[in-house]
Amino acid sequence: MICIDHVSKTYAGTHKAVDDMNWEMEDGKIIGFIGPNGAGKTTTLKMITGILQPDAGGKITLNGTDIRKRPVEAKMQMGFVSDNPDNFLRLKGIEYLNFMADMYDVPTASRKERIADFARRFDMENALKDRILSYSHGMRQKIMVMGALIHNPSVWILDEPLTGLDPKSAFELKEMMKEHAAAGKLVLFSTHVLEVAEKLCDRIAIIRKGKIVYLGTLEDLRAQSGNDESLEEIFLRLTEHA
Amino acid sequence: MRKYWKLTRILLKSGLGNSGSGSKRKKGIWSKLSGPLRWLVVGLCLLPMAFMLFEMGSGGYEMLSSMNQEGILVELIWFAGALMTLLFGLPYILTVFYMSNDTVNLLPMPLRPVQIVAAKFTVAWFYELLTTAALLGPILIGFGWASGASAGYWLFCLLGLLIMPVMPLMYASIISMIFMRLFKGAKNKSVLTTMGSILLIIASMGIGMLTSQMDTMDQDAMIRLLMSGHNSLVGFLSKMFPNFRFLVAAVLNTDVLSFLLFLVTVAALLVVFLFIAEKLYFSGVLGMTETISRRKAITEGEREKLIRKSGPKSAYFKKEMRLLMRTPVFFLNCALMVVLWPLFVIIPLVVIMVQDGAAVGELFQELGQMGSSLFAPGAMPDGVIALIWVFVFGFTALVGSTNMTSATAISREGKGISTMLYIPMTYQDQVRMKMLPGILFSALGSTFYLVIIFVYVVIVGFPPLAGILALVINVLTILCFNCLQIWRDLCAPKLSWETEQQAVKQNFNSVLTMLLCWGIGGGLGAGAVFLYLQVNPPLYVIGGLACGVLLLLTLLFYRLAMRAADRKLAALE
Repeated sequence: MICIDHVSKTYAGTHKAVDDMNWEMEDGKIIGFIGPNGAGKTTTLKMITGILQPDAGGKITLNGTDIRKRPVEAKMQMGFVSDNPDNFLRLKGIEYLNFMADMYDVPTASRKERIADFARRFDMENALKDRILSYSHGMRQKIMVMGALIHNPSVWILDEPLTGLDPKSAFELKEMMKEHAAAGKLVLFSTHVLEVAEKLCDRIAIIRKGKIVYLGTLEDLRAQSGNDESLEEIFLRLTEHA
Repeated sequence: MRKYWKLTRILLKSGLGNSGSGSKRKKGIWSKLSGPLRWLVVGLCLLPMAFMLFEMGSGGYEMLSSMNQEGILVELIWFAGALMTLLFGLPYILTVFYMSNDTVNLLPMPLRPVQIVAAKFTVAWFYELLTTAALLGPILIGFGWASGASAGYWLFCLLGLLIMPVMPLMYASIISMIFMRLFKGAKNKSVLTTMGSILLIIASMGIGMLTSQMDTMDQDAMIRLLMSGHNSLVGFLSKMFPNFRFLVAAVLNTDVLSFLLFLVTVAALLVVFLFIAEKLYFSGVLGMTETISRRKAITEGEREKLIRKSGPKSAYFKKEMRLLMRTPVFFLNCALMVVLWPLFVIIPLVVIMVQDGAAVGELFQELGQMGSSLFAPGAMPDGVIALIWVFVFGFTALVGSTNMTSATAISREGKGISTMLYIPMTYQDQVRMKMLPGILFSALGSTFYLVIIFVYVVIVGFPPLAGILALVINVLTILCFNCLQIWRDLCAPKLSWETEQQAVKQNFNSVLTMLLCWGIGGGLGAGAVFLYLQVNPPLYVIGGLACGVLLLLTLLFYRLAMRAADRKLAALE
């Protein structure tokens, strides 16, 4: 469970990227975070993961643990896939996974089992001994996803996770997200692709200029719009004229 | 031509433009200084060296003008400049041509290959120009000032400084390009680049020393040899740079025609060079950074070996070491000199052995005799022990200050810094693990050799307590400098970089911490000498005090680094 309580983020003292956000995310759900470029999605995700500090007064908790007060404890409960997979390029895939497993204190047996399972599902079995530098963008994205899931986190946060993935890997990733939520865990991901949000999410949050302008299910959103608008049209209306 | 100019400007801008701190928060005094002002501060710090070179130029003129042979000095200055450009130019060429990784992005553009080569060569020339001007400028000024030179001298010196680096850089480029072309097929390109760079440095050192016999001569013999014009160094260099005689004549006699001849020969050679370089460069650079992938599944046996649990801190340290060692630009710029310096001692010895085997035997014999008389029971004067401590401190300070591993530990993360912020490990623990490789390399480059010497000297009679204190001084200096270096990098990391070389080569933290280390080293050394001469307390009191001060400084910088770890990393945006 993630609780965001009166959280704001101001850059350079003037630009408010996130503005007094309040949001409670329940376990067992896939939550899509949608918004135009520069709306504050990545800033919000970075604050939840502890990469950025919110302005004074705001509070973010992961399963009841305050990320600012007890950061290590809070981070142990979460897995994060950032929007930039070009990290640790000189490490071999297997070295990276081992490193992440060590960071999250995963026992040897569990990590062996999970690495084998993820590698099979993502067709990465023949790539783990090679350096990440030799991977394509999609393969780098997949190894980052594997690293984020190696400790089976109760909260899984992904920033634009489907970018660059081939159809099979995108399908597998969506299946994994569903399985994760079905196991009672929380999946939060940002996306620009409305069709993905439509098919995958239990709830969505639409953000515009740092403020959440809609929070709920897609069905409710359609019902509220009350006409035959497509999701795309509703999204455009909410983000442009809200 | 227009495209060449534009490309050169862009390459220069992307190389030197963002040379300051990458942090958006500008709180420190250093961060508030603008780019040119920072260069001015560095220039001021280099003033003592410039003054020394100036003295060399003016003193050299006084000495040789009495024999009417001052022209030899001008010739030597240009040849020395050419040799230095060749030696320093190799890393520049490797960096600009092979490690900047931008050629792949340039190839799809509507540019002719020769434009890319020419632009890159110009960038290397520009970088080299700064070094050459800083080293040769003061000597030429010293010479001109002492000789009351005419306006023509100053003009041709200035033009000469601009054009002179072109020829040695052409040699450096051709050597690098042939090497990179020959070993293109190697499987591990990172290792190849690292090993290639090391080999080139060693080779250039060897060439430089094999051609020099002057260090073994007295002043009169040296002057006689120089005047005869047949010594191997000058002879070798005059064959390598035959057109330098025109430059020398132009500078000495203010001869426009000679200068034009120099200019024309350089231009002609440049055209030939560009033609050859165009053929050699692209066949060597393409695919250079690609890592061969084997695409083989992990076997059951490998799984047992590769997938194994270790502690988070140990895993973090291993990750740091792997990234440092496997990234050629990082390893070459941060740690190489610390590991490589013994070669600066070994190569001259080998060269002397090749030339005169008996001389090395005599040298060791003399050292042995000196050692046994100094270390004979009861013969150890306090001054020798103090001198050894000062030497150990100075040596460690030099090795430690040239080790840039900790000074760039945070900057090297670049855009990947966010990983540091979301993994479940405290910032302080991460910073400690980031400091370890730097400490390890400094220890490898100093403590390792000192322990060997310590064992030897204690056997021959050096007081063990003095030896232990020397080792304590060494260890504390290493710790102190590493804490200082990482603290500085935490305060203003350069995280906005596009190429790895920008993170380390154009990182002011490296220069600043080196100067700070020298400042601290100089201050401590001077303080100890002052205390010894003025107060004259018992020797071990001075040793103890020095260790105490070093310990206090280490604790201070450690505390500052840990505080910065919590505050600065959390505040990164």
